[in-house]
Amino acid sequence: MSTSRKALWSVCLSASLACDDNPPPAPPSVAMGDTLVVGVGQDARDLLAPLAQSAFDLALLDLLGTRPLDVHFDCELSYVPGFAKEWTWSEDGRTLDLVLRDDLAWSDGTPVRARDLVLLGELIRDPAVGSPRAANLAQLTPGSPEAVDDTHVRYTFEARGQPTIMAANVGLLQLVPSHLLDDPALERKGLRTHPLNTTAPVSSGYWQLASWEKGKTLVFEPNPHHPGPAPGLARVVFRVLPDYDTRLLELRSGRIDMMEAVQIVDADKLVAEQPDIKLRTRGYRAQDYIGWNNVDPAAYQAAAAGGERPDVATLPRHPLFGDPAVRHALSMAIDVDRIIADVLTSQATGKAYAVRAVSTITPELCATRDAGITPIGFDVEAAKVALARAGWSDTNGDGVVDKGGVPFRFTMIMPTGSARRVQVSTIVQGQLAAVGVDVQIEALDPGALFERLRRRDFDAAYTGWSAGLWVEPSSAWGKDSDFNFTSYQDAEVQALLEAGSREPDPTKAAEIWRKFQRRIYDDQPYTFLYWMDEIVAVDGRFDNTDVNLVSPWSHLERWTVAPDKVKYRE
Amino acid sequence: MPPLPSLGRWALGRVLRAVGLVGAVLLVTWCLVEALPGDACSARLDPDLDPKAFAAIRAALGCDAPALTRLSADLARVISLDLGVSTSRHVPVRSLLAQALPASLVLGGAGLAIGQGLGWASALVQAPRRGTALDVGVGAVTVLFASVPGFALALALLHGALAFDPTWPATGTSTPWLVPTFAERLQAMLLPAVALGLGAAALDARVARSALVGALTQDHIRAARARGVGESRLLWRHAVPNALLPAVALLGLQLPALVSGAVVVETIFAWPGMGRLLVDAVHAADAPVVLGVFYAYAVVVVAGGVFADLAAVLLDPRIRLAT
Repeated sequence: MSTSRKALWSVCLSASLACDDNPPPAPPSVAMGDTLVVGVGQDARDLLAPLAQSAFDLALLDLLGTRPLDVHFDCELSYVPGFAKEWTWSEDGRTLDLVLRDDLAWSDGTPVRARDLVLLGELIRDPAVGSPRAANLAQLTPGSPEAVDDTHVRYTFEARGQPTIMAANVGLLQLVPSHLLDDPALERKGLRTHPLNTTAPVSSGYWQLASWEKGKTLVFEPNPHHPGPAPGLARVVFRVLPDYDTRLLELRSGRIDMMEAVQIVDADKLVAEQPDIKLRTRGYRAQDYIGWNNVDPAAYQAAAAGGERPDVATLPRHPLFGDPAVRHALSMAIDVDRIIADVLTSQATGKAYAVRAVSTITPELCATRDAGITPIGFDVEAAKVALARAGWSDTNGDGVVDKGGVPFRFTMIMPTGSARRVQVSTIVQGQLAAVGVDVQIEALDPGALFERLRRRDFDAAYTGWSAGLWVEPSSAWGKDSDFNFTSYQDAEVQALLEAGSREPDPTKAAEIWRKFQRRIYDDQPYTFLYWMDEIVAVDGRFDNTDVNLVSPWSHLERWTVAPDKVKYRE
Repeated sequence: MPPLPSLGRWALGRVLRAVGLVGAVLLVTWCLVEALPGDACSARLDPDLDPKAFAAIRAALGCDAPALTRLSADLARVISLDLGVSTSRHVPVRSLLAQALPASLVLGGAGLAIGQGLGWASALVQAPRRGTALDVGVGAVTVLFASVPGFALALALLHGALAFDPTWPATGTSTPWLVPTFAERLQAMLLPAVALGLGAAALDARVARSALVGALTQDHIRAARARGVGESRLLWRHAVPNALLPAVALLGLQLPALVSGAVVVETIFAWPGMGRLLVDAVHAADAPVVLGVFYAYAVVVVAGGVFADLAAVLLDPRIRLAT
């Protein structure tokens, strides 16, 4: 039987079961609790699993959908049952079998079946769709995943790898409603304009989208067809308030209940003046760094003019930052501890909301982080000596070190829109001036900044990364990655990168990643600055709140409000 | 002296020029969007994205088509009033404009009304008392409001209102899942409309005062005063009609602000109008929406100009159609 006929058979079977033998479960009674109003800076964009890309879209999909695997993070990523109630790996580590629940239904009452996962795979792998998740399934064999039966899906991988990462790639994707999308007439290229993506997604999770007023509000209400316990809240509303100050004012006036990324100075005021608002922290997922371009930007762009990616190993080094000794000296001249104390520490409580960074792997990954790396200490005199050894000294007494008549002067680009970055860049500018390095700061719109980074059209860049929950450093450091902005290349690092990605044993992989981090830190392609602990504010009437590294609103179905504290009654 | 054209021929000429102007605005806008770093696809590039997936996204969103192909397709869509589909929100641009334009028109209209009302009120207080302390005082206040940036005024109003009444629906109702009442809609509109109106009022007041002072010093007014005509009648029957002309010209220039002048205020008050739509579209490099918004702007600006010219002709027959 061909795949398409199998699919058709599966759909017909599902439909007939839905109509005759296995009617959808009766809607459970919904506890009419309170309403949570979340202030967010942006609207959703894509709410169909193969197309969702932004962190906000993916977080909303977690409300709407049920993933095969749910995640738990405590020093490392682990899995708990989601749509899959069991999962097993084959002995050769290449096949993952999921046994699916049979009691889930879409919000229109149609049962959730294995075909919903298989179609998800087909859509993600279809180039016409243009799915941002295509890399997740790139390691699968052709024809995978396959539905063994209605409650059994099999993923076959081309090669063995780390099971945690392999499972994450396939198990953390949300489902698609095959009964609405499994249509040969559906033009997959136009999937982004499908109403299921733009206006009216169906849900297999605890929540369903009740209304979506573009640019204004998204209202979620409990999905009456979900078999789990009814959510403790009657409604979750996301209000789009693009301006940070407006969100904060609305929080303080009680017109929103929750907002992310509260600035430290505002957190101090909230603690002092509004104890009814509780502050939570999410953990270290975001870092800032200063990237030093390793290759000559002009040479790179000349080589890239033909459209091909240049081989950076053949390009001349950057005249200022091509020498690791110089990069090391610059890191010595930047007092990261003082930056953390001045900018990222509460002046009211003394609590620091940041720790020093030594790599792009978050310190939350306990087994992989390298606690043995000693951060480079701040030492102006040693930095001057190191620069002098590298040939940079102030020969003309103008306060700027020079070499061969060329002053050590460069422009550091950074994104606009962050008060923190304005403060930190100014501090860095002053600290580097103390060792005779003249820095000009150029703030760019994030889109323009990204283009400059992508074209390697910069000297230094003060920007940041958001870390994943598992180790996947090839984006930042892979020699062919678009995101290896500094064009850093080192044979040992590349070998460790490949070995770490292939190693199935987590303990051995962690050891490889620790060597990997040490090697990069020795070379200082970045001056690693700090990991930040994001502050989330939540109104105190909510109980069982779960703000964590995975999501600012994990398991919203468990959030409750005591009856005497309910604010919005029907 | 050449013969004057008829009103119909004059109007036709203005409309044709207006169409050409709108076309030129669109072409320039397209070139500016094209010159921006990145495009709708690069706005979606993130470190988790596989290069092959990115190439597929570029193909799916049409980013890899040659510039001339995209230009001709975009202009063809504009001519057919299709305007295309948003590359960030994936819905027809027309539907986005249909939602945002009324919101901006209502807010801008209210702001314009507040501006005109306050401006004329202060001008009517100042002009008959030219040179007095009251004139100078009101003038200083108008200069102050004209000097304060829109975002500062909006934030000050927002802070002030929420300090006064924390439940004030400054950015929309606090129960957005319920259909707002008319009173709630008015409340939600009040602060952004005042923020827009105060800035406009300052300019309106200065122009209206200047026109009124000019009218009040004309010979026929002095003659009327000598004949014993009361000051109130002089002001309302003789000076105000004569002062309307420059005010109407200014109104014509302010009409585009109905849709274009509220970018900052709409963002701060989370008002879902054209300004917000444009800001979001620029951040997402959403060329069809940017073009659509500028298309609407251009039509309103040009129509505002035509309206002002026509109003001037109707108000003052001395203005010749030959202009």
